[in-house]
Amino acid sequence: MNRSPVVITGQGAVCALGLGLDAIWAELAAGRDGMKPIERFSTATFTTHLGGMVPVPGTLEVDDAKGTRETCIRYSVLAAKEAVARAKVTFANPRRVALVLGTSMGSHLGGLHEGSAEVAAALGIEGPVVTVSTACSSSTNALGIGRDLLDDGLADVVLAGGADVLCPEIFAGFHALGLLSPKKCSPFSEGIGTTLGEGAGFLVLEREADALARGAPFVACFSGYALSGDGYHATSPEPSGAGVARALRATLDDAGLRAEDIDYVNAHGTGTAANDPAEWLAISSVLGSRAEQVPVSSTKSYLAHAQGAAGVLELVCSLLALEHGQVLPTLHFTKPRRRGPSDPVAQTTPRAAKVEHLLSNNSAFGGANAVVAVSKRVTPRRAPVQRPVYVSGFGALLPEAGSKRLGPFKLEALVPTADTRGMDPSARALTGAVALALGDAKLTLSGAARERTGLFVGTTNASPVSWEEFRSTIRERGLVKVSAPAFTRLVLNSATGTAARLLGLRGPTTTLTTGVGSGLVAAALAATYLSSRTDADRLVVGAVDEVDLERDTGRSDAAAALVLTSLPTEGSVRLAGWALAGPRALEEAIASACGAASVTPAREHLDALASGSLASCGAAFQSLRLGAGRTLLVDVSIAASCAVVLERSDA
Amino acid sequence: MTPVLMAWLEHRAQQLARVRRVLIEDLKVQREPDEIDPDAPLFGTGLGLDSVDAVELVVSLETEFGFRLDDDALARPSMRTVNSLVDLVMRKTGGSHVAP
Amino acid sequence: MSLRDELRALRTGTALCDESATVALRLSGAAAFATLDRLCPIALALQDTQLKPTLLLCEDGTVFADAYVARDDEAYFLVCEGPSAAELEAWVRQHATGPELEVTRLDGSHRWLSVHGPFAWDLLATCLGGDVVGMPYLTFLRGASGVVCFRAGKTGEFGYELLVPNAEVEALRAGLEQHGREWDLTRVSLAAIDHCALENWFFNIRAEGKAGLTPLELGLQWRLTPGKDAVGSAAVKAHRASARVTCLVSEGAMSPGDVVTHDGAPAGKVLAAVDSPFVGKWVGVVLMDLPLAVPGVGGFVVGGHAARTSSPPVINNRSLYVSPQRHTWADRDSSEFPPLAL
Repeated sequence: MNRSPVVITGQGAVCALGLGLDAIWAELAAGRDGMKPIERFSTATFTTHLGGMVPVPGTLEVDDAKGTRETCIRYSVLAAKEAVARAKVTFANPRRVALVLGTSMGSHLGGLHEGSAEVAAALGIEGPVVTVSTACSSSTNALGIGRDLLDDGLADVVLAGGADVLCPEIFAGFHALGLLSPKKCSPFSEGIGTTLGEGAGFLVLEREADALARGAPFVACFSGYALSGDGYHATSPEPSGAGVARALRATLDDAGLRAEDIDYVNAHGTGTAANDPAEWLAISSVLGSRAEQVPVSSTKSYLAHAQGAAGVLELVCSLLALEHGQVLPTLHFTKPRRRGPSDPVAQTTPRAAKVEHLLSNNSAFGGANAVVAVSKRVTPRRAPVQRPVYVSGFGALLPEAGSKRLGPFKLEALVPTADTRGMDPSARALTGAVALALGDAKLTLSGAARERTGLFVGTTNASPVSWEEFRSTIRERGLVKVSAPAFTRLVLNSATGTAARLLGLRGPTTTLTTGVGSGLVAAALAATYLSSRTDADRLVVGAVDEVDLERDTGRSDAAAALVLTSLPTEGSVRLAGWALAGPRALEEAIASACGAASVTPAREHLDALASGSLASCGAAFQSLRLGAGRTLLVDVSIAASCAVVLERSDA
Repeated sequence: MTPVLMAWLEHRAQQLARVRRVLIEDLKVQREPDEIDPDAPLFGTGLGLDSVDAVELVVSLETEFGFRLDDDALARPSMRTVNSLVDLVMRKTGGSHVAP
Repeated sequence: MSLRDELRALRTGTALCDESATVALRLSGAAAFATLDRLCPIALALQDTQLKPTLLLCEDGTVFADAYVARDDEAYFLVCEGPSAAELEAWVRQHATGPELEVTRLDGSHRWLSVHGPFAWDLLATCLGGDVVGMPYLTFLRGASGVVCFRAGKTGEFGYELLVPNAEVEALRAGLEQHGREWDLTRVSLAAIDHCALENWFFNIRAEGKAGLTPLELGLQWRLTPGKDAVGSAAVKAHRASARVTCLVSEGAMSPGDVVTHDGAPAGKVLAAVDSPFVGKWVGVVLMDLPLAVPGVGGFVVGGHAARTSSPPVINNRSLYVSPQRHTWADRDSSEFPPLAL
C-alpha cells in the first residue's frame, strides 16, 4: 500500500460568499457574511427568513425535487471544474480519476449516486464515484475516503468534496426541529441557533510524488483524518463531546501530530445550543492546555451551514486564509456563551497568524463525526500499518422466496435493549441484520471495545416510509408544520445512526452509496480503514434496501451485515483483496482485487440493490467456513465497480 | 353528581380520548389508550417523548383540535402530563379545565 | 431550620440531603440482564449510562418497590426504595434466570448523598467536574474515586443522587459544603424531599405506596411495558381498577385515612398529604373512585374543608426555566422566573 503524503493541488467552491475562490476570499477578507433574507422560496410562515444562498445569476427553479437535483449538480460541476483548473491537471487516464462527493440530501430524486455520476460525467471522470452521505459531516468524511483511495492505489487523482442545496423542505425540517436562529447565526456567542446555507466545494488530492512529477501547484498537505460515532441521539450530539474527542484524537494520531502542533481549529460551530458547548468540551479535552492558546473559529458565521458541503467549504476558506497568513474570525460574536473557546477570534476580519497545522471538525445528525488535519507543508507519514482483515460474523434479514418485502420480525427479540419507538423499516432491518452479525461473531462489546467498533453502511435511499410520512405532513399540515421526527429520518445515514446507537457502536461510522453494490463498496472501504489504521479493531459493514414498490418494481427489501475485524479470529475467513474502479472498469477492479489467485464466479445476486452482494458475501463467508477456497464477489453500478476476494486461510 | 357536572366529565373524557389518540397515532406512543395514565409525564420519563417530539406534539394537537398555539405553547406547564394537555385543550376549545 | 426553609432552599437554591431510604444492588454476569428483564415489568431498552424508572411487583400485581435500573456497560445497578437491601437481594436471587449472576449489595460499602435545586448542577460541577452540567435526565456519570452520580431527582428540580464509597463520603460532603457556601447550600431532611415529591407527583413507596395498590390505581402504567411478561405483570393485566390516585387540593388539613366525599357520598380516601407553602393549600394523594378521578372538579369535602381535584404537578418548577448552558447561579437574580405555584 502506498503511503506517500497526500497533497491538495487545487480547490474550487461556490457558496453564499460567491462563485469561485477569488470572490469568496474578497468577502472573507472584508468580513462580509453571505447570510441574507431568502428570496428563492417563501419563508413567510416561518419564524426566520435568513439563509446563506449561492448568488447564482438568473432564476433557479428549486420548487421541486428535480430543480433541487439539477441545482446540486450545477453547483458541483462549477466547483469541481474550478478545482481541476486550478490544479492544472488533465486526466491522462480518466479511469484513474475518482470522485468522492459528500452530500446530505442534494440530489435525492432517483438516488444520490446518480447525481454524483452526472457530475463525474461532466468532468470526464471515469474512475470510481463514491457518494458519502452522513448529513452535516458528509464532505469532511468524503475527503478522508478520497485520501484512502489514493493510499490504496485505486486512483491517481481524486476530486473530493461535497454539495448541497437549500430547498424549502430542508429549511422546514430544521425549522421544525427548533434549530434555526431568527438572526444570523453567532457560533459560540449569545444568539442560539444556526442559519442554513448551501454550496459546493472540491479539492484535488494527489500523491505527493505524482504531484511533484507533473509540476502541480501546491495548496497544502492533507495530513490525516478520522471518523467516529456518538451512538447517542438522532440529532443532538453527546453532551460531553466524547465522540468528537475520539475523532480529534484519532486524526492527530493518523497525521502523526500532537496537540502542541495544532495552530488553528476550524470548528463545526453551528451556533445551536447543543453543538457548541459539546464541541468545545471535545476540543479542550483533546488539546489540553493548548486549547486555551489556539484560535478556534467557525466559518458558519460567514457562509451559514452549508449542510453536507459545510466541511469542504469551511476547509477551503481556512486554506484561503492560510495562504494569506491568516485565520478567519467568528463573526457576529458579542458575549461568549458559558462554555466556549478561549480564543474564538472574535473580530470582524481575519487575523494574522502563523499556522503550520490545522484541524477541521464537522459533526452530524446520527452522531457521525469527521475530522481532517491539514498542514502548510508536506508532513512525512509514519510507516504504514498493514493489518489483516478477517470476517468474523454475518447476519441478514431477507424476504421469503417469491416475496419482495421483508416479513415482520421482532427486533426486540434480537436487541432486547432497543427502544423501537419511531423506527422506520430501514432502521429496523439494518439494526436487526447488524445484531445478527454481532451474534454470529459471538461478540459482546463493552467499554472501550465499543469505541473501537464502528459501522460502515452502504445503502441507496432513506426509508420510503419516512419519506411518505414527511411528505404527508406537508400535504396535510403545510410546510411550516412538517414532521420533525420524520425529517430526521430522511438523511441517508439515519438508519446507520440508529443501529449504531442501539447496539452501542461508537467507532468510525459512515454511510455511502454507489447504487448497486453499495454494501460491497462499504466492505471494501471498511477493509481499507481497518487494515491501514489503529483507531478501530472492528468495523461492521451493513447494507440495507427498503424498496418503494411503486418505483422499483424489480427490487426487493433486504438487510445484511458482516463483521470485519483485524483481531485474529477463529475460523479465519479473510478479506484477501478488494478494489474499487470506475463503472466500466470491472476487469481492473477484479485484477486489483485478485492478483494472480484463481477465483470462482460470484454467486447469484439477489434483486436487492445495496445489499445483494453483501448478502452474497455473507453466504460465501458461511460456506467458506465449511470448506477451503476463495470467492470473488463483484458488483457494478453506474457509479463504480467493486471486487472483493474472500479467502479461507488454512494454516 | 349534577347533570351539569356529568356532562362536563363526559366532555373531558372525550377530549382525553382524542389526546390519547394523538399520542398513539402521531407521536407513535406504543400503548393502548387505556394504558396511557392521565397523569403520566410526557417528556423524559413517563411516555418518554423527547425534544424532537415536542414540536410535533404541538402541531399534531393544533391539527386535531383546530386551535392555534403560539410560541409559548411549548411553555412548560401545559406540556407536562397527559392531563395538562387535556386542560390546555379544554381551555383552547372554548371550555374550561375547571368543572362548573 | 424549619421545613419551610428547607423547601424554599430545595425549590429556589441548592439543597443537600444525607438521609436516604434507597438501597442499591449491582448485577453482573451473563444472566444479569435476563434476570432483571424477568423482574422488571418495563422493557429494559437502555443505552450505556441510562436509567429507566420502573416498579417491582409482587406476584399479585401490587407494588413493593419503586425502582430504577441503570445500565453500566454490561453490568446493571438496581436502585430501589421499599425493600431492605437483604430483601431485595433475596428477591433477585430467587428469580435468577441462570447461574452466571453476580449480585453485590452496595449498602455496606456505599452511602447516598443527594443534591437538589434549580442550580444543583452548578454546585455539583465544582466537585464532580463539568460533565455534570450536560448530563441528561435519567443518566448517570462515573465520577472520580468511584462516585456514581445519578441524575434522577424526585422533587421536580434538578436532582442528583450520589452513590459514594464510604471512604469518600466525608471528603465529598465537606467539598460540597465548602463550595456550597457560594450557593447558599442548605441541609434538608428526607421529609422535605418527600414533601416536594408529593407536590410534583412523584410516587412515594413509603407513603401511598404502602396501600397495597397495583400500578393501575397508582397511575403508573407508564412504568410497565404493555405485553411484557415479568413477575406480577399477568396479575396487573387481569386486574380491573375501580379507583385511581388523584391530586386533591384542600383549603384545610388532611391526613392519611381521611375520607373524601363528594355531594355527601364517599368518593375517595387520602393516602398522603402535605401543607404546601407554595400553593398556600394542602395537597393530597387521594385514592379516588374512577368517575371522579378527574382534575378540575370541585365540590369535594375532606376533613371538614372544601377541596377540588387538580392536574399535578402543582408547582411550576423553577428548574424548568433554568438552562445549564445559559444560566448560572451568579446571575440568578437577573433571571425572571414565573411564580412557583400554578
